[in-house]
Amino acid sequence: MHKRRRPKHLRFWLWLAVVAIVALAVAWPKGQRADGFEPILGLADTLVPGEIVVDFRDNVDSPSALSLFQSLGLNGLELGSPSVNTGRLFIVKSPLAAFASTLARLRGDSRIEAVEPQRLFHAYGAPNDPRYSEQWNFKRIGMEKAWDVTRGKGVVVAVIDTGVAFEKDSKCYLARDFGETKFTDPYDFVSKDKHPTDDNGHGTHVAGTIAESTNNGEGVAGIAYEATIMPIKVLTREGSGRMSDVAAGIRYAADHGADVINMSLGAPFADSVTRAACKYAYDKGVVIVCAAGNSGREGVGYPAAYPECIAVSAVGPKGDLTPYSSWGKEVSIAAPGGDKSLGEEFGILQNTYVWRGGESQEDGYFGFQGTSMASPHVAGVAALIISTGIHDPAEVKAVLERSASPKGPKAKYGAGELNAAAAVAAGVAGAGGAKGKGWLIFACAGIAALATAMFRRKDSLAPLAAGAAVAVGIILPDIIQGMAGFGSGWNLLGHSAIVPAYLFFCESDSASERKWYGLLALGVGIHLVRDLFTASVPFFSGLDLGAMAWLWANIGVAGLAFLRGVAVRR
Amino acid sequence: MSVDEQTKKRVDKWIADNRLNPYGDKNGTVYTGGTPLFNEVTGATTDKYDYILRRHPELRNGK
Repeated sequence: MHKRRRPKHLRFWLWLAVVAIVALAVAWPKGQRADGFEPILGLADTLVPGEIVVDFRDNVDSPSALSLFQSLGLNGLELGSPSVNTGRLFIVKSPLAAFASTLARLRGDSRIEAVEPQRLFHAYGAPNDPRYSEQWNFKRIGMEKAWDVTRGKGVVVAVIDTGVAFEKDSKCYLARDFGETKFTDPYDFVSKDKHPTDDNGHGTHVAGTIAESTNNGEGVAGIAYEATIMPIKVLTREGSGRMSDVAAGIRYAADHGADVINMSLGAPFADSVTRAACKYAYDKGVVIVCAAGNSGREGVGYPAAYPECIAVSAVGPKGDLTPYSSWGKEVSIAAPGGDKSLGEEFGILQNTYVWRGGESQEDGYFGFQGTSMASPHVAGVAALIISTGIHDPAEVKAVLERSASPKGPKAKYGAGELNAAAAVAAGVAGAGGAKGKGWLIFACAGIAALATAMFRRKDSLAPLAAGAAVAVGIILPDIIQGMAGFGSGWNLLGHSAIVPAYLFFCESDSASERKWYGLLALGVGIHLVRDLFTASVPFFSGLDLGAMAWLWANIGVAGLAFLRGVAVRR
Repeated sequence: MSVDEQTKKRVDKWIADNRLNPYGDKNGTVYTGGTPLFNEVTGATTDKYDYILRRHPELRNGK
């Protein structure tokens, strides 16, 4: 048989690419993302505007140091305590306009050993929002590990509530920590216009738990802060409204592309109009999350009790059911709702407006408590799960329940307490598993057919074997992802056409081999095209420029291998 | 504020006669958190009859 000449240059470059990817896989810390968000590995820092740390030489006394600052027009504050030897450390504040020149003058003084701009350090994985440390509820559900994988980009969460303070004009308000939050398709069913501003404060607080602007050096964090909020107002300034508006809001959300609906509201009785709306949204693939109610006794309210909804009870800082939370057999899961009876600090802290009577309002950070606060925790995590590739409401609910930290009794906690980290991990594994299951069965059948065809020379089985080769290519990235993890560098290698292309161009000696490797490349290419539609590429935050370049380059290589191996047979 | 049994019976009858929800509001009324009796800002709870009588003080006088 004619032996094909291997293109040596191509072989060199493919080898180089494999080595580079493998080196990347080893060197790149697991979970590090292309968008600069840093994983839980050490410390990160941010500059404190105008502050400078000055370390004087040991032979310089405090009065001398202070006189130097006075001569420069600065106020210096000495660090230290009787029990801690901090050396001659001072902090000085400089006007921002003169910051660079002050820094230079201090650095030029021989009495000073070191001068540095002041930095705030915080753990990797933790956002730099200054009051994030007060969000005990986020630590309780493992948010930082979940953020290492996803922050909900591309998912739309409808907040059906009292409105959201998301826009600023003469009649509307923008809460201070929502400047970077994305919004879409707002609607006010109370005033029948497109400006559902929050004249109560409840809806903004709820929206904040889901997607308050995060890692922006302001206030606190939100769970799925790259998700998009759809503000829908159905409740009045008094915090009450009509079921008919709620039903209309649900249908509106479903018709305008919401992936998740959060309803931190309820009524004591069921009604057919709202039930039909919930069914309508559910059938359109919307995940509906609702507060179980604040009655403090058995009996889940509506719409939470409908089977299409995920009913959420509330737990406090120790994970116990709060005194105010409703409970019952319809509860799916429990989540932090705050319990200020244990201390003011155990409310759920988010940014909102609080109305002080009349037109007086305060834009600040307030600790609320209620199943209204528990529900958006679950809605936010549902958004994260959806961003991993699971879209079916029943599957999202199953992932939430399966990943919950078990706690009983079931009537109070449902499947247990919400665990964001486990939910996202289960979502990633589940998305790959669910998508790849059918292909895996097909691949196994095809491999068996291939073996039969090879050993018994049954040409009639060849098409099935060819299909199996494609199926192997389709599931291969998911298998690698399952073994190595979503954020692993190996996963990036798995989501590329490097391996099949290497096999095709460098390791195949016959047309038959090239055909199989070409079909394998086609399968990988199909997987990557699917990734284009689900926006899930390892290391990339959605379909940004890097992700698009990576996908198209690899799809191109896979297509080339397929065309040369199968479609264009020599 | 305590509400005597007679007033409670009067309120209950008023709710039944007018086909209202348990909080004395129109059927089909929804509330933040599912109930008007729990204040999610302060954590304070309100007695159902106090809530209704504050909104309908005429019921206190037997009207």
